[in-house]
Amino acid sequence: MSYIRVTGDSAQSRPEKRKRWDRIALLFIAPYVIFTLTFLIYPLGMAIIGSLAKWDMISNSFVQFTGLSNYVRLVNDPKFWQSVLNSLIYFVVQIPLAIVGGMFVANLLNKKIIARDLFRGLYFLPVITGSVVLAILWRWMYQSSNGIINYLLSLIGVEPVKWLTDASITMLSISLMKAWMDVGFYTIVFLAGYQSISAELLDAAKVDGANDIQVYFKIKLPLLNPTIVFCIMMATIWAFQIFNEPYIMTGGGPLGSSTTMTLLLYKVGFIEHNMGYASTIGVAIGIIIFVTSILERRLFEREIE
Amino acid sequence: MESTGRKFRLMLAYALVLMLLASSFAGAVRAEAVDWITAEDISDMPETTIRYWFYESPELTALGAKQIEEFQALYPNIKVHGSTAPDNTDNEMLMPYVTSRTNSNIHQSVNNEDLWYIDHGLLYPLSNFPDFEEVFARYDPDLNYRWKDGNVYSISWYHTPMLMYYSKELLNSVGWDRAPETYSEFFEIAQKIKDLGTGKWMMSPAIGEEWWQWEFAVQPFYIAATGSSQVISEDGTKAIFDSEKGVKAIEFFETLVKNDYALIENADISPFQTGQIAAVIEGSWEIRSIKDNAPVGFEYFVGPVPIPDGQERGPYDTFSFVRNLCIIEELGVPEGEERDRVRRASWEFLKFLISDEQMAQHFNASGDIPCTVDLLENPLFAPVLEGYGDVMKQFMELGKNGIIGDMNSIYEVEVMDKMQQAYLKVIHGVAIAKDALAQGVVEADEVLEKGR
Repeated sequence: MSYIRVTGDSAQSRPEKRKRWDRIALLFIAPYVIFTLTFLIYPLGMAIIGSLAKWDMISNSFVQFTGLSNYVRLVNDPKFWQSVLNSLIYFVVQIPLAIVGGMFVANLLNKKIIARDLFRGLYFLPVITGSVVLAILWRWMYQSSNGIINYLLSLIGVEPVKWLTDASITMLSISLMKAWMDVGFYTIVFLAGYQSISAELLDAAKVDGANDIQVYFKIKLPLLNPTIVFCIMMATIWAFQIFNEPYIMTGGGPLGSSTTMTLLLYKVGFIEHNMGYASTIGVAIGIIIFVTSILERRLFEREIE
Repeated sequence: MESTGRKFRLMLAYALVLMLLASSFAGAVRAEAVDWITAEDISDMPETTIRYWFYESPELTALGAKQIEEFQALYPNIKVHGSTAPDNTDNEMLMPYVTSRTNSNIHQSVNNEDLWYIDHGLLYPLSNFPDFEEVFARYDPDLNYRWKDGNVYSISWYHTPMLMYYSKELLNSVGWDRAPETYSEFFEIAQKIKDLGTGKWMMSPAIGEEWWQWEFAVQPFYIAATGSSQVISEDGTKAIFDSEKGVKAIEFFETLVKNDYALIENADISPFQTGQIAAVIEGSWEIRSIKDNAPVGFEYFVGPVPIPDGQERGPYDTFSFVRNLCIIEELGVPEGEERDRVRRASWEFLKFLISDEQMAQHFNASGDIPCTVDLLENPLFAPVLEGYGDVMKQFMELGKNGIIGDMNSIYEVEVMDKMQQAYLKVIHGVAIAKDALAQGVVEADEVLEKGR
């Protein structure tokens, strides 16, 4: 065993060097720390405290400790439960469609097809187009009397569908539109996932006599597991935060059938001026996202052999 | 040593005397401090800055900038920072601006929204200004209100009665050339339009979730049917909008939807101007909008809000939407000279905005009718009225019995939200008018009960 002898000089200068490096390191991480404290930790703290207090918007202060009364109200509030149900409809419809759609398109775009780069760009276009713009466009397309979707359906004899004015299907309509929007994003993510799979593995499988379907389900899909888990978790977070599309396309109607949890939070906070209760809804959204993400991770994450 | 001590004591005595003199001088200055709320002349008021948001169209934005320039020429010591109002600050997102002191000091409000601000001490009583009553007397009392504490917190600026507009082409196509007066006449036309089988509808009722949709689109029918805008008892404790006549107003919409006379759509482009529907309820801004946007040759006429059959028109037969001007308090500035200066400067600018000259320009740019009592006689408004043609005069004549909404409770907005939800249940076929309003009253009473 050999040792490096540390000379007296360098032994003395080392802590000082380290201190200097620590200071430089602090300087580099300072922007992130300041940003996190200002825009994450502070609002999070305010929301948690605000949910336990009466929050006066005029003086921007907590004027009375109300304990768990906001949480009791939340549990008994039918509007909140309707918003949870609306968000769940979106969660159940939009996430599978967007992720499976993304996997499918990515698989196609991973093959050698004509104008592959053009298609990759086209599928990604909705992602870089503003959600507000797309929501307005789809509101037009979904119109029951003049919309292009109903016009196309009428060509095959389908009666006009009230996409955004029938309470029973509004959330479904929004979910379909958002799935279309997000397919491009998941396509890019899965494309990267497909391309990271070793060509040798695929060749070996083929040499062993596996057909395309077997290769896909026995080799590609298991190897895509980390990508799938990542996509599901991101989609879950975004699903429970959806705001722009229902706000613009329906305003949360008809009869609250598209009021998502974040839209309810906005209405309570900024229209009813009840920031304490709005904070409670915010905390509830945070908890729902946290719990769902953990469950999903346990459910979908697999060891790759 | 002793002489040094004496010198020190002497200096201390001098310092004390000087301090006493200085403080009494300061006291004298304070005693002479100007009360800027009541001061007759404010030309020597220290420079004071106020903020003003102008709305919404390019014409009004240009007018706002011009008004600021003209005002500052009159009052060089008052600086007005003008800007276009941010989105949604009309009724939703105002508070963040108020708390961060970036809002407009002179706010363009509506009656029932005033109440929340009054309840939270955000509006400065305009009636505190010595010349207020003189200014107030120039405006239509039916379009203004005095709050229960005796103060006036906002002053009417412009208004528009909500009236029916009819497409001449569609009504002529079914043999009608005048506006229907009653529900049965209205439905007769609706049935004939449906029978044409051309994919046209009679009307497109409002389907938005917001509380104010009721105010514009349903309240006119409620007032026409009941002859009054009252929806809450005078003592502010009970909702009363489920009266027999009130139910009839909502049954009007029930019939529209049930018989497929209505286009249920969140339309972005006016289905009235594009010829999809035969009738629409709108304010005077529609005259300007048709002039600017409707296809060439589009013809229309205006009419009163229909009333239930076998009923006389009451003293009021529609809702008049009024845009008020009020002064929002500067949060974070302690009571005193600085706060008073901002209030006074805001008052002077507010008076400037509602002067006849400025109102005439605003009328021209927007089509919004000034609330002055002498509108038809005042020569300043005559050329603008001429410019809008006979239809504007006809509109004003038909809307002369318009009235502002109920002002019996601080919770008008919350109660209106319950009424809108009741109305939407009818529009979406979830409940019949009577049941929906009965449920709405129960919910509204809960709101009023909580506030007591």
